Parts: sequence; structure tokens; C-alpha cells
Amino acid sequence: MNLILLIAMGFLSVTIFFCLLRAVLGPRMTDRLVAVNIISIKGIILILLIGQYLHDNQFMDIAMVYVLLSFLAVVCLARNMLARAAKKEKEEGTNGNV
Amino acid sequence: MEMFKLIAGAVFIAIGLFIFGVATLGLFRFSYVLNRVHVAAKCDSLAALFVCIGLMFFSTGAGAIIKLLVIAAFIWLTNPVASHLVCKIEVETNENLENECEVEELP
Amino acid sequence: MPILLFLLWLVFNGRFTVDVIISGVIATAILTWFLAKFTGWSVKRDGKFAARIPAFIFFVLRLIVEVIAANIHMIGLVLSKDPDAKIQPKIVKHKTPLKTGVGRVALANSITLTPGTITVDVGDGCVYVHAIDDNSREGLGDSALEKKLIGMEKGL
Repeated sequence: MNLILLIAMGFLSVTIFFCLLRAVLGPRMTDRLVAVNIISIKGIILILLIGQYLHDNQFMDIAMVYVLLSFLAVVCLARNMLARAAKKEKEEGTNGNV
Repeated sequence: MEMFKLIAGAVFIAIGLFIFGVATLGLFRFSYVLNRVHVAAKCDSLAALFVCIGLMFFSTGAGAIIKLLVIAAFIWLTNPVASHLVCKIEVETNENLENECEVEELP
Repeated sequence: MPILLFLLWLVFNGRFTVDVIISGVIATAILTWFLAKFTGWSVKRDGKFAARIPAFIFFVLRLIVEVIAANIHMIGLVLSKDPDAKIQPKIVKHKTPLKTGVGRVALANSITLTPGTITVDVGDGCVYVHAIDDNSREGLGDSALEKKLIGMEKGL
């Protein structure tokens, strides 16, 4: 069982690295947001695997909190970006009127 | 019985990891954000569910199994909403959306 | 709802002792008072939701089947030779008769999880959908999930 979990953790870490590459390379801001979303879900699964590997059920509570926190992070970033886009549009509108 | 649990858990975790790998590959194969979000939204939800089911075979006690189910349910609730927000931002901030996909009608 | 909250408390604790149960009862009472005061919760509404639990379980099973189909579709697309040439992305407007907020959110989430479509925006009486190819766009018109949701919404 430990061997299976170790292989799974290694594979997951490699895929997380490639997602990070996408987040760094991404041409647009939304590319990075998608990559960050995927990384957070993989991180949750990684926490669960580590908890099973160490035979410690406390890790599940950490994972549960992390699900909600990562979702909150994406929502906050999204609201921030939407607000910035609306502000930019407004400024352009006033410049056009003047 | 122990052997059966081990094999079943290993199979479920392997399927989940394969879908995670496909999701990562999809991030590089597609060329535009709205197509990448498709991969991110679908493959990640199912892969998380499969790994959680696989871990249920390994874990001991009813509390752990229910907690794993609750985590999977949280992921299924939150992941589509996050993807939808990413789509909304992309549609609202991209000025030349028509170059990338046909647009029938916009909100 | 109070019973559900109390069970959740017990699951999160993982132990079954007297102090856990006493603090759980206090926390559940405070949360129930909060729900009744700020979100209009009542025992009557709980009963209405409880009557829908069997339909909801069928809905979730159907959703899992759809998600597996969606994943097979996506895996085929990603592993094909030239994914960008095989897709025809398009944004379309999809009318829906669902009226309540919960129903529309459930529809948007299930559209995101079914093959080849993703929700961009939810408007008044319609949702804007990004479809990845022509087949999935045509399949949007007569989805079984939406019919199930409409059946669940009746009499709410």
C-alpha cells in the first residue's frame, strides 16, 4: 500500500510542476487562474494521500478547510479582476465624452 | 479481503491519476483559455472523486469515509463555480473574442 | 436541518463523548436560530426539501454518468492528433423554464459538468453557454438533467 501511495504522490507532484509551468507561461491572466485552480485541487488530493501514508486522520480536516479556502481565493481574484475591468471601462467612457 | 481492498483502491487511484495527467496535458494541447477551462472543469472533478473512492478502500473507520465523501462533494460544488467565474472574466475582458470563437449572442 | 448540522458536527469531531455532544447541541441551537432569523428557515420548508431527497439521489447518479461520458469525450479530444482543428467553439444562448435561484444554479453547474459545454453567464430566464463542438451544442436542447430539475422544482 505504501508503494502505491508513494508512486501516486510522485506522479501528482510532477503534474503539479507542469501546471505551475502553465501558470508562469500563460499569455493571459485567465490562463494563470485556470492553472491555479487545478493546482489547488491537486494539492488537496496530495494532502489526502500524505495523510493516508502517515496514517493520520487529522490531514482530512486540513484538506476540508483547504477546499473552501482555495475556492475563496479564486472567487476573490475573480471579483478583483471584474472590478478592475469595470473601472477601466468607465474611465475610457469618460475620456471619450471629454 | 485485504488483497481485494488493496487492488480495488490501487485501480481507482490509478484511474484518477490518469485523468489528472490528461487534464495537465490538455492545458498544453489547447491554444485558447475557453477550451482549456473545459478540461480543467470536467477532468479535475471526476479525478478527485476517483482518488477519494480509492482512498476509501485504504482508510479505516466510518468517520474517515464520510469525511472523504464530504470533501468530494465540496469539490463538485466549488469547481464548476470557479470555472464559470474564469469564463465570465474572459468574456468580459477580452476585446477581440470573435477571433477565437463564434459568438451568437452576448450577455 | 438541525439534525443534519448535529451529524456534521459529530463527523468532524470523530469522537463520541459527553462534552462533544453538549457543545454540539449548543452550536446547533445557535446555528438554527441564526438560520431562522436571517435566511427564513422553518420546519415546513425543511419538509418540502426532504420530500425531494429521492429525486435528488437519482439526479446525482445521472450526473455522475454524464460526467464520466464527458471525461471520455475530453480524453478523446486531448489525446487526438490536433485538438484545435477538431473543435468548433461557439457561445450560444439557452432558454430555460427554471425559475428559482437554486434550480438555475444547479442547472448551470450541471451544464458545466456535462459533455462539451460550459456556462459563461446566467441571465434572466436563460443561460449563456460556451459549447466546444457542434454535437454538444445540439445535445443541449433536450438534456435529461434539465427535465429532472424541472420535475424537482414543481410545487416548491
